[in-house]
Amino acid sequence: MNRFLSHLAALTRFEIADSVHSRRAAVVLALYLAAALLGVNAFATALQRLEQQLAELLQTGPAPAGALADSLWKSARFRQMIVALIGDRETALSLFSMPPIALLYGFLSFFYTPFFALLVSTPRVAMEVYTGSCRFVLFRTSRMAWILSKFIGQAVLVLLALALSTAGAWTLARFRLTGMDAFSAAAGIAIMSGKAWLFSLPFVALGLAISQSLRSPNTAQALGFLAWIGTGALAWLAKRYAGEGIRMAWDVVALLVPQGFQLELWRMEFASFAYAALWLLVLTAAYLMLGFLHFSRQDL
Amino acid sequence: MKTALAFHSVVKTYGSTRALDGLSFAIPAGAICGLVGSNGAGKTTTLALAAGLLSPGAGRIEVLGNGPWDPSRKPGQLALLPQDSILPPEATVGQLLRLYARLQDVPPNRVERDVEEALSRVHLLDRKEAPTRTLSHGMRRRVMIAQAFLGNPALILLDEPLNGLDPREAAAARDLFASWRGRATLVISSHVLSELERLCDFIVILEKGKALHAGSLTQWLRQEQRLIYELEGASLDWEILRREYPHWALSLSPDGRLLECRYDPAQWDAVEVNGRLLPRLLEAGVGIRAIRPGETLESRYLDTLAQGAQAHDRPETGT
Repeated sequence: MNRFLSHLAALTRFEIADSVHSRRAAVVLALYLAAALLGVNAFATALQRLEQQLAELLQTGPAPAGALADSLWKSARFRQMIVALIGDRETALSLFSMPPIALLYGFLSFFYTPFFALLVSTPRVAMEVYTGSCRFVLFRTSRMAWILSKFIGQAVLVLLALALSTAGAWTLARFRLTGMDAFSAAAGIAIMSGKAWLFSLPFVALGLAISQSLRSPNTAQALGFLAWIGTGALAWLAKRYAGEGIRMAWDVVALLVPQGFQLELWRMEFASFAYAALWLLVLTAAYLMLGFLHFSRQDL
Repeated sequence: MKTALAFHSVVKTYGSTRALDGLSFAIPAGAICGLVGSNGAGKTTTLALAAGLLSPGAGRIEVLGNGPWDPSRKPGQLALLPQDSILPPEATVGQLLRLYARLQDVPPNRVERDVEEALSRVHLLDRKEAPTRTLSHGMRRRVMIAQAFLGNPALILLDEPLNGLDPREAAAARDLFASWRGRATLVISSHVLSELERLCDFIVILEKGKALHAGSLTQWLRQEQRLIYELEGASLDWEILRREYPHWALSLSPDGRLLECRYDPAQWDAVEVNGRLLPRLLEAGVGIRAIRPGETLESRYLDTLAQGAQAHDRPETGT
């Protein structure tokens, strides 16, 4: 066991260092940061326009950017908009304790994190099988240690990317929305970032499962894109068509895709979060092991 | 005698292609073994199976007397230089070798020293911090050779190790392999038969997924019972010579350029044979261009292939 852990640690360190050297890390960090900054900037612009219109309408005169957000946040119309964005009234109502910028950041990161996680993880194993570079390692250590190191390495990469995008989003929001409550916004964005990371784990595992089953990195990446669309579609169908009788099968489908737990992640109660976290970790392990069942017997 | 690597009726198929067709052989521990065969004979498949990268369809593989290779059971005991594989391009040479050394069970406090020693052996110490993508093909090959000798492996599998090396580096690599004689079992797959002949003491000849021969190289080349003289200006009466040395079998090639002397190794050795025959030849004014023991690996290999083909072509006769 000690040897397994020491191999796992060495392989994970190498996976992260190789990501940095190969500029994969830079690309991932840039993608996350750009997505967060663009989203927050667009939101701040829209919010400022709305505030301007409100100020004109109410003839209250100019106010610092974001200062009217509190009033806005309490408005029924704005709440309806948030309910529509999240898709669940109960969940949406439980979120009004969070600053709007944090919710916007959560919405964005739940959208792009799975996509980026799949994008970077799908070629990781297939590429090394394709080039044969795994043959320098896999007579020295177990395939399980190698695959786990890939998973941990990619999960760490996503965590770093989310941390950077958190910092970037908060800094931009602080600059653009001067009336914003900086502390509660930072806390809110950090909480949503953590949830997005948890949400990304099954996607990293799904990407690696696809990667373990294929020898072509390009095909793996294309399948990863399809998996992102497919799991999203399944979650949507499950939510739409779940019901009594045979339609209860859709409830089972919802348990098999990470997006089926998105609403629980939005909720602020610990019980909801714990339920989602547990299931997401189970899905992560299941996806990874499903891929490993094939990879453990694959000729290299 | 301990066996380092043994295949027992191993079959490996890729789709409808039978790469190994009941392959059996046993390589003694401590040997430097040459794995020889035509393209597609199954050499790379054999080494990949031995290293656990492939699974056999049937048969049994014994690596270091412990069943099929499993790195968790005897960590660091096996090393492989795979063919047609690319080192991770962005990692530096040092990073890669440090990782491989750790996985090869080199103690952490010895990793740096071992890596530097391995790089010194292949004359690449100055490229330790260079990403592998910046190295030439030959240099990358030398890094691959270096990684195979990290730690203290008991079985080292080298698939076409000298491919792409310049003559100086090829000679240095050969010296490195020879320096491991007795410390580990080396299995070297190569098409360069002259290299193998100089280096190996054991040989496995593969053809169409089967072993045509597996055994001592000197015995197979009949080096302990045969001397070949390359002659020039032969003007001797060969029948007289044959009568002078009745205990040896002397035969001359049709063009008169090669004299073969076969003797009983239990009674004679090459020094004694040369001591008697050479003065007689020189005295008779025969020019001697070269003397070599037995056959060359190349000629013996080609003969074996030809015999195999003839046996295959020969029509079956009824009794």
